[in-house]
Amino acid sequence: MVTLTTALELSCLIIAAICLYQDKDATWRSMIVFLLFTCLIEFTGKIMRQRHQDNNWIYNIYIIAEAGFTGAMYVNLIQQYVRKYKLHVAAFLLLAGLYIYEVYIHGIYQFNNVTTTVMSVVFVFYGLYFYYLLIKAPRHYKLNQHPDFWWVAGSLLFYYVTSVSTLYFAVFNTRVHKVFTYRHYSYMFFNTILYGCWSYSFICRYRQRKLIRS
Amino acid sequence: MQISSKEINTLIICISIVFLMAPASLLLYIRQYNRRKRGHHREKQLMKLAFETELAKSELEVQEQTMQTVGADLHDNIGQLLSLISLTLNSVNVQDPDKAQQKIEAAIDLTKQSIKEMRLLGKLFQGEQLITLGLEKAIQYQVNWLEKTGQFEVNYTFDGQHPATPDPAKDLIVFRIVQETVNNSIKHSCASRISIHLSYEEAHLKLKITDNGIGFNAPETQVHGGGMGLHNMQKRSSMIGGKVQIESEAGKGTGIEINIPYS
Repeated sequence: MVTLTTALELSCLIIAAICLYQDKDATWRSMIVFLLFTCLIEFTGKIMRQRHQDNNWIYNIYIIAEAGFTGAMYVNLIQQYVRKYKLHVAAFLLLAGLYIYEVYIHGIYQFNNVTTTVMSVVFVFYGLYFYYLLIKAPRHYKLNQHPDFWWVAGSLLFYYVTSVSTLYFAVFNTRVHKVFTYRHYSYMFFNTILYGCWSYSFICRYRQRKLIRS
Repeated sequence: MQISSKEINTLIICISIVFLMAPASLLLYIRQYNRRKRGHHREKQLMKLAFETELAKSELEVQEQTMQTVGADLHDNIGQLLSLISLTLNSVNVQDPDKAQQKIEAAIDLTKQSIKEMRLLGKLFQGEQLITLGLEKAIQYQVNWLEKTGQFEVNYTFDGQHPATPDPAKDLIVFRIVQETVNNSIKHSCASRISIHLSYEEAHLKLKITDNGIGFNAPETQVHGGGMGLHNMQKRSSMIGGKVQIESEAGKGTGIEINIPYS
């Protein structure tokens, strides 16, 4: 039941719990809840799959959490530079509208592919927008110790690959192995990058907090 | 034509690499840009530090100049007056009331003159502090002092209105430039006539100092790095964003024009 992805998620959760438990920023702290939720969904999904039960509905619920927590984190990071309420509201309405539409069309038991793809594109845009603001900002940062930079790096790479692999679904669905497809391997690889970057950003955040206190 | 699975694998790997190059390049670009920003920031800090050092140096030099002037005046002028008072009072013969009366009156005159000299000296000290009240006042005191020596003819004119928000740092540096230029005119150019013109126009401070001294070959001196005085003047004015123009010819005096942004 424990795969590379679940092991990564678990270790990221543990690091988040240690590093962000006392963080002053509620959005950063909420990452613990999100990762806990991710682990629970992942384990539940795997158990259901082993029992040959349909687990699409559980991943459909996960989309809400993913969009909510990741979106909130992006908004929090972007708000440090500019306040674009209209943009955030538009993104929220777009995703919420698509989600409701998809559920209305095919029900909760079929995975919301369109919402996931659009969400990936929205998050790629947010990631690029954040980097644009980071470059434009007059101050400079120690990037190798900058938590925001690493969190966005992981997210941007992950959602970028998610968008690309969805676009080239046919190609990436080619089997390399009896069981696994390219898409599966690329997800595994980019999950490693995502959780690696996130874990490192949590550690940077922890170090930053300790440095401010001392 | 059929594509083999090996070729498909290679194709997928190539496509993946191409797609990965975009975000990887982006991250590298951000890193590079941030480094450049850090370098620029460091450079700015160094420039700020250099400016502060130069400002402190100018302040110290202005103080030194004042102390030198005060010292020389105490020795040459007030000291002599006081010695004369002492001699006059010592020579008073109380047996001869008429002469004694004359000598006492002479001593009183000398004392009054000493007091006047002391007051002027006191004003010179104030003059140094007057930079904070306005550059033109500080220059005026410097000019008054020069005129008092009776050896130089100094013509000082001021045009325009002093900016509503003065910049004491810039004023101090400009004042030091004035002091240095006037010193050069007296010591090296052996000038007897100095003209100083200060004006504020179109968000610029313009300072023109001319003398009738021996002059020098300006282009040649500048090509060969110039003297320390000229170098200091150029360095200081460039620190406050100014430009210096020097015009001089052997036997035809020297003219120095400084243009500094001042708003």
